[in-house]
Amino acid sequence: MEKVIKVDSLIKKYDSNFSLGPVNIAFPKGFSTALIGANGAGKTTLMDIICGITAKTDGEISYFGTAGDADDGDTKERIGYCASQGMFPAGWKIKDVALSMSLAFERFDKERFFALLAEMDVPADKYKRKSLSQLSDGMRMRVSLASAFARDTDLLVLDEPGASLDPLMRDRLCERFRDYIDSGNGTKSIIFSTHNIADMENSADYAVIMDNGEVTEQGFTEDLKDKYIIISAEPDRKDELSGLMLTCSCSSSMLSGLALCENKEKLMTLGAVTERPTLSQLSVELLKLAEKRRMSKEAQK
Amino acid sequence: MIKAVRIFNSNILFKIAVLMIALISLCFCAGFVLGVLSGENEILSPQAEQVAEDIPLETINIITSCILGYISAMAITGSAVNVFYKTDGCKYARTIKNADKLFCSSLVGSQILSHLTAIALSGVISVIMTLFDCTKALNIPVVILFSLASSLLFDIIIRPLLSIKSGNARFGLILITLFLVSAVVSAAFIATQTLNYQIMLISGGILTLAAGIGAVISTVSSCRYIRRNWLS
Repeated sequence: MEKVIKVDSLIKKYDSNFSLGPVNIAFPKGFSTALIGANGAGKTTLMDIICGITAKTDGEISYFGTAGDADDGDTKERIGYCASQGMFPAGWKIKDVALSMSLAFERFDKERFFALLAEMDVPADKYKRKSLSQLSDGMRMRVSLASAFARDTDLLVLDEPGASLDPLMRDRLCERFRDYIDSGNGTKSIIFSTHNIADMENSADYAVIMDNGEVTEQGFTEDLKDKYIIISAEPDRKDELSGLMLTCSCSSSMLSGLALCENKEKLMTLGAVTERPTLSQLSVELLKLAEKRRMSKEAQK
Repeated sequence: MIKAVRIFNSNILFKIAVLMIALISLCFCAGFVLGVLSGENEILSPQAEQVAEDIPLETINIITSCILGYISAMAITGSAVNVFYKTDGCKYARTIKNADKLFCSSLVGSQILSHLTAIALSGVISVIMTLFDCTKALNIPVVILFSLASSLLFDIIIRPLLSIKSGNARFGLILITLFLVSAVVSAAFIATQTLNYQIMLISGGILTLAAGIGAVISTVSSCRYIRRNWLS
């Protein structure tokens, strides 16, 4: 499998307590990768380091098969980036974004930018007198997304692209993701972070689960769905089942949790009902598992 | 360099520069025309006559030009410094290749633009005053030189402006420097104008050179600071 970005032993240390890594991830080429994690897990930091926005403390990153820096060659020209907020100066108008992007990036298509804005219900004519600070969060995100999609890139790095969009626009964004990937015939890739896993599920071919600055699980979503199963059972079965379960939540009416698929037969003989997880269910349970492991590590210390 | 200025500031700085020249020229023209039309038959009060005798028009002209030179630097280079704070908070700029170097080019470009505006402003004002026989054409280069010195003196405070985080503190520094620059430049002019034209020109040249050296040192230090700070 070809990699679009390969991250080896990446470390980022801040003055505060938070530190990222060491992170090892291989983002597959020609696919869409979802970065999933709780707030403060390090998703934005990782994406910023990949795009050369933030400096790394240590580690190696390979871009399109070549180890180096984001400023080397035409790497930055090949990566489109969209921040979750504060992408452009607040006082700028849409035409300032278009002008500045066309000067800063060789492969920025101004006409395509305005066409994309019109498709996203942000017609430049209607909003030409308004600065970005006067637009709603959703509108600002649409402008940022249009600026990223209007460039001819090989990789898009999008930080929470669906966070401030309405459900309809989120659905259209997923379609746009698919179109972008398909247009490259295996050469174009997307890395995006999201908390709306259910809405973006169809857009994620590969998933990376992060917790507290570390990668806890990664793989193709279909492989991960084959690896794990979701369990539900009567609460009085807790003692028998808990040994085989990775995570376990028990209410007065139901026992539920995550287990490895290889234990499916055993769990079923013990009276558990199993189902193939959705990415959303899987993410929540894997985050619970990561939290459990972290807590036990801290308790041991 | 111009491309870098446009990437980070869009066309804002150019608009500020053109607007400043247009507006100030318009105000001067309107003021002089109105003054000439209505002032000939008016009898000045003895106090006003005394003030007019004590402060020659050349002095008022030079002080005005110095202030305008400083203001042009404050509006244009100050905006570029302001962009630094905005780009610190917005990520777009950092996605551009070698953005730190481009930003330094943008800063230097803004400084050059501000100095050109200072020259144009003082030139326009001096020409208008000469046309109305309020000053001699010989004084035009001196006025331009002193105005340029004032705008260069602003550049010295770019480095502290970049590292001072508080907006109020930056405003205070700009205000204090404005008074200091006006005082220093006009004092230098007043002290030398009673001597001869050459000395006045030389003193303006020395002041401009000293301010220029200070501006270069401050700019180099600012660029180093930006590069260090950019990828933190």
